[in-house]
Amino acid sequence: MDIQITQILFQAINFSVVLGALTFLLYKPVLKMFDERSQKIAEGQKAAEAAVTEKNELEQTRKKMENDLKKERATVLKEAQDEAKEKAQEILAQARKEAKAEKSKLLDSWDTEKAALLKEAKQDMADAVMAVSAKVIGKSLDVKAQQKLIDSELETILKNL
Amino acid sequence: MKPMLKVTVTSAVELTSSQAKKIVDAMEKKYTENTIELKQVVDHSVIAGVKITVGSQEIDATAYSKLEKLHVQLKQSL
Repeated sequence: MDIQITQILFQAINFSVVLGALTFLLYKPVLKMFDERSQKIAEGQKAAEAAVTEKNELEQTRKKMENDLKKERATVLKEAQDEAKEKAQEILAQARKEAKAEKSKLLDSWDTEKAALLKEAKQDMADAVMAVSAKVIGKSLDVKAQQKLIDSELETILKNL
Repeated sequence: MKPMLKVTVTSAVELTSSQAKKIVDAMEKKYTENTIELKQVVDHSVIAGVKITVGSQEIDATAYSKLEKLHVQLKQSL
């Protein structure tokens, strides 16, 4: 076997040309493509991270707003309850006051009525006593007694005439 | 002729003649310018005693008037 230097040289040059062509036509574009792809992936990852961060921030804001709302709701509810309690106590106190006044009014009115009834009863009694006395006196006096009484009264009347 | 003066006597029973005469005599003694006309009225509501009315003047000595006075005093004291 003979080693032909020209052949080797020719092959070497051939190889170099192919290598150069491949580097220029294939290697660099492919590398460029890989770089672009890596860049896109990195950008995509960055955007995803930013989105996750934003989402977390929004979630935190939402939770904070929810807590604030809960607190506010609790405050409003407590205020309303306190107000209602106060109002109920006011109404109760007013009702008690009115009931007391009404009771006092009724008692006074009862006392007045009682006094009036008592007075009426006593006057009725006086009338009854008068009527009974008149009947008893009338019935107990016979004609003789009546005449005697008339004589007695006439003596007084005619003496003072 | 003397003018007539009416004297009304109210009692629970009729007056006796002596009682009537007593009244007339007393009235004639008092009202000398008048002739006395006696009118007797029997009214059981006076209960007892006598009431003499001469014109507008009235002398009430009936049991009824005494009871009535007592009645008024009793009512006033209540």
